[in-house]
Amino acid sequence: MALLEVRNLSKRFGGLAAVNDVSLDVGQGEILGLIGPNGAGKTTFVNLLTGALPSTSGTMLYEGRDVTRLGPHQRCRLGMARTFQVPQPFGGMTVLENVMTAALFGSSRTGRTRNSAEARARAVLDDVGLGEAADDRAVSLTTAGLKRLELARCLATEPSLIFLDEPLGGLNQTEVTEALDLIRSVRSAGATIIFIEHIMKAVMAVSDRVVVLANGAKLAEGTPSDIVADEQVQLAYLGDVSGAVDRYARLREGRTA
Amino acid sequence: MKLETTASGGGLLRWQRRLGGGPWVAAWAVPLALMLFLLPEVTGAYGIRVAGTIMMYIALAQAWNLIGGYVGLMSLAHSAFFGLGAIGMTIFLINGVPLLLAGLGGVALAVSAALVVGLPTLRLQGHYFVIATLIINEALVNGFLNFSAFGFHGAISQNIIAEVGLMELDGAAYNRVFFYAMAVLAGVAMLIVMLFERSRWGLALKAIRDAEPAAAAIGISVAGVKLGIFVVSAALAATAGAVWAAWLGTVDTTSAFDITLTFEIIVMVFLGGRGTTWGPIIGVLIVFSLNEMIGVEFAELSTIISGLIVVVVVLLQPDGLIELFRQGPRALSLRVISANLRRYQVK
Repeated sequence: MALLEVRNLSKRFGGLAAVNDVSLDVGQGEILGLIGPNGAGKTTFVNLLTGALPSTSGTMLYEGRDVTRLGPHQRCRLGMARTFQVPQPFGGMTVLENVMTAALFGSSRTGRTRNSAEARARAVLDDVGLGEAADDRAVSLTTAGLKRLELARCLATEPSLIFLDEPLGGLNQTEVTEALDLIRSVRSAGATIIFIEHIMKAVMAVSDRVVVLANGAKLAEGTPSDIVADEQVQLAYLGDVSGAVDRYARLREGRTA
Repeated sequence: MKLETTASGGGLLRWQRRLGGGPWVAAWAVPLALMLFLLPEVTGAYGIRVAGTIMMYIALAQAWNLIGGYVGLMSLAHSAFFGLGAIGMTIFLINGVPLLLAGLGGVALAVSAALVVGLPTLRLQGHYFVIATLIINEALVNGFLNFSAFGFHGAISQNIIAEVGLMELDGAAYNRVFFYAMAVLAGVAMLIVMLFERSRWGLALKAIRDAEPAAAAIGISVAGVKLGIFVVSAALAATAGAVWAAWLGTVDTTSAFDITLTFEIIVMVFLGGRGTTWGPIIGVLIVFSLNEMIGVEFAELSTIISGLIVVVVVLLQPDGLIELFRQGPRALSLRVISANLRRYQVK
């Protein structure tokens, strides 16, 4: 049984279908890459999967249980956690308090005391490389630091399914490499990951399987190498280039003639 | 905020640590309580009534601070809760319910009203909540003005002195009893705010205020936390209303549901510093001092003057006068004030 089963999920804003009839399965322990050009509906899709937005139609099963109508906090308590594309730190708190709050309210909340939540938060901060910054104010972090804080807060809820919404946006080359290592280590710790990203190369490097969204619908699905070779995907990313090639050819002919 | 880092020993010590002051809480809390206890000995009848009213406003300001300051939701329903506590208790008293139970009955009515307003609107964006809280006060005033049943007539003022049953006390002792009642209520309100601040609820509140979607994403029931705090806030305001009605001995609908009360406590909380433990107390004390200073000499000007002062303070110190205590003289420096003013720029 798949960890997450999505069936015919749609979201309409008025007449616009932002997500249109998407179905997919995510297996236990998998890293699923979710890619698509700008405006393809990736973030809307994640908002549906995490319950931040109500879906218009379709169903979602998590561990075989229907979660379609559950709110984001309920899904989090079941073990689904996410990061945000634009980091959303709790600005009035320290880095440690941000993560501690997540440990107190996440899926492991029962019986957790302040002391154990703090211990858990410190451990997670060490894992993501923010141990030194624990007592800094969250707003004082750099972009890369804020992205790490997003991940730390998400991990502190002790999730089994993690949605990473463009975790590499705004990072430089070194930071991207470090972030990808971090994502791999999270997976080897036993989590299943849905990895939404705009940077195709990065997705291909870590994903076991890739799903391509375009105009809110599922365009293709397969291994990274299948996807790279897929003509439709190239079309979606680059647009229809065949016409341009023809025109260019005619232009050259006209000039030489 | 300080975190507990060591496992705590005895019960008392743990509570003191929860209140954030370690053993030092006792150092100010005990003398303060003693001073309040002895206050009626040194003040006259007028003084003790003012002191009791100040205590009532501290309780009300802290009640509003919970939802308006910490959660950031502009509730306009606090006069409605206050009125429900007063009128609700009156109706129960008239029908032979003992004083304490009648007071609880009034509080229960206010809690139900908070649920009716909060359940549907706290899931939506803030504006719906504000409108709903405004409407409930109007609805209740008009409802109770036309309400005539169970021996209660909303259109006239009701005398409940006999039902409150403290007739054997002389004036000074009577006022003293209610001053103590209001002081205890203010203390309870303070305690609730301080415990909220340092509990997991306090963390949840801060998280919601800073980044609501992220708060929901880490497992915090945003609507649930808001509703819980709104209900606690309503219960506090209603208790103040019930004590007020018992103290006054006569209750009429329009003064019980006077929406001016809501605006007064909002001004106090903003003036002192919303979302802080001590800010509302500073706000209450300043408003009362202003009224005492300018109210008698220039009665007709006092509203204009205090209004101007509020405008100036909110413009120059948007985080409240508590900043003067937090930052010291730096809060009045040109740099801080111009930074404060820039916060009003339209981006």
